[in-house]
Amino acid sequence: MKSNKPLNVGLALLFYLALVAFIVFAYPGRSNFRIEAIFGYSNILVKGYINTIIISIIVLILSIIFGFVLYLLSESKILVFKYISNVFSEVIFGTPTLVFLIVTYYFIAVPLDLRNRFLAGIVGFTLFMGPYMRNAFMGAMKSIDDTQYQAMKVLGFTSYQKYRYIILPQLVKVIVPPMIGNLAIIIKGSSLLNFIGVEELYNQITTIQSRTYAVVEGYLIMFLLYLSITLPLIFLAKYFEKKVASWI
Amino acid sequence: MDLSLKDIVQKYEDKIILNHVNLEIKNKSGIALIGPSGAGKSTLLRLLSGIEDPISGEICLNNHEVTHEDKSEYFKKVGFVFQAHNLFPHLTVLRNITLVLEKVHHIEIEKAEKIALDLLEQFELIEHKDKIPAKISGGQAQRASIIRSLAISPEVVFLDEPTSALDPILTHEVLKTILKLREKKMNFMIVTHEITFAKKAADYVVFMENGEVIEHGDVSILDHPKTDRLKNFIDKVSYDI
Repeated sequence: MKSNKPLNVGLALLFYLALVAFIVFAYPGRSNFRIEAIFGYSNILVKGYINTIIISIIVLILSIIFGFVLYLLSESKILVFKYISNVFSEVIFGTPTLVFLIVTYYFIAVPLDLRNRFLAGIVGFTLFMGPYMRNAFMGAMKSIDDTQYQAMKVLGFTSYQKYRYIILPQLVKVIVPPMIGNLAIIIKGSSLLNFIGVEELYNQITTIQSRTYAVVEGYLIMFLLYLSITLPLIFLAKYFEKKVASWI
Repeated sequence: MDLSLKDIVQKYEDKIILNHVNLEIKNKSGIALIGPSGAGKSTLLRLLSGIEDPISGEICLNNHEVTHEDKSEYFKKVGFVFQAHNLFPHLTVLRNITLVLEKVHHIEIEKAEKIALDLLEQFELIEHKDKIPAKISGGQAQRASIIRSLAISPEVVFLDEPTSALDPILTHEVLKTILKLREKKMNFMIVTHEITFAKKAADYVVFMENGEVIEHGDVSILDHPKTDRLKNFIDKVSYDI
């Protein structure tokens, strides 16, 4: 049992099947379990699912850019830039996602007359994710040690060549796993945008729940749909991590 | 190579590392810098190679006024080997060598590969050409970085304690590589603790202590030191347990 991989995978699967079976049989409301009621509103469901993916991709891209700016500020020799970036990051790390999204909505989006909740949500969430991206950049930059910079210098590479041939190729490989980790945080966190009225997956399923009264069924579908987005990403991250480990 | 140091001072914060160093050496090909830790040997090497600039003083190497010259041009004419190998971890041994030739020295890739493969063959590393640095030993990696510094046909190669990160067996293979530089009449300057090796590989020795050059001369000064300080140093490092 120590090394037989298929056997162990099979046993683990069996364990989870047994667990699911137990939960289903133990669930007191199973006699009137109406999962099909949720699928009756599949157009709303699909809209929420797609919106969650769109929001996540946009927030991912914008927060990478914003995080890189924060990284540059944090590394700046001009101390005031460094302090601004560091204070902002610490504030974010100390704030629950939901609280920050609601506060930015009422104190930034509303005063700025940003009526589009979709946009307002993206702005707030991008601000929230920036410092996490900043940390990913910081970690990746540390993977290139000082001796390499000395070697680049004495070998005569220009600044452009240093980034193009030596720093970036190494950075891309190291930064992918934490970035995918951050994307998973974004996807899960996007459910909180429901609280400022963005029509994403969580929000749309609550709508369906209120129409069908299939509350438990709604949450079960939600659980599976979020996993259907995040699990492939986690496997992707593991794959990249393995690749990176082979040359570090 | 010809070398001239005039009144070189180097400080890190308030600590004086090189204290008004003067040195004239003419027409030597292998120079060994020896002395106890903290003597300023590595710092002197870094100044000569242009990696660092002195607080004050003038450095001339062959016809280069190192302190005034455009560094990016100077770097194309010298090689530097660090204490630990500095190969780029994401590139193969071969690409580590050809990248510099191709991008910095604008040599066509086919020609660059030929230069690199010839050197890898000569230095018995050809079988490892397609491996990344993590897949070869520390000694092989250090030899590959010596090859990388040689590939550009530099006027001088600087070696900063190239074996200090290696165990005795790997040290031996790297020292053998450096002896080959001697056979090829390459100009090189090495910071080393290996006195026996210095006797074999160098034709000139500079002994430093506390940021000053105490004694310098042909390699025979290692057998017949004139100053007590060099004599003490040699006694200490050749002490058998």
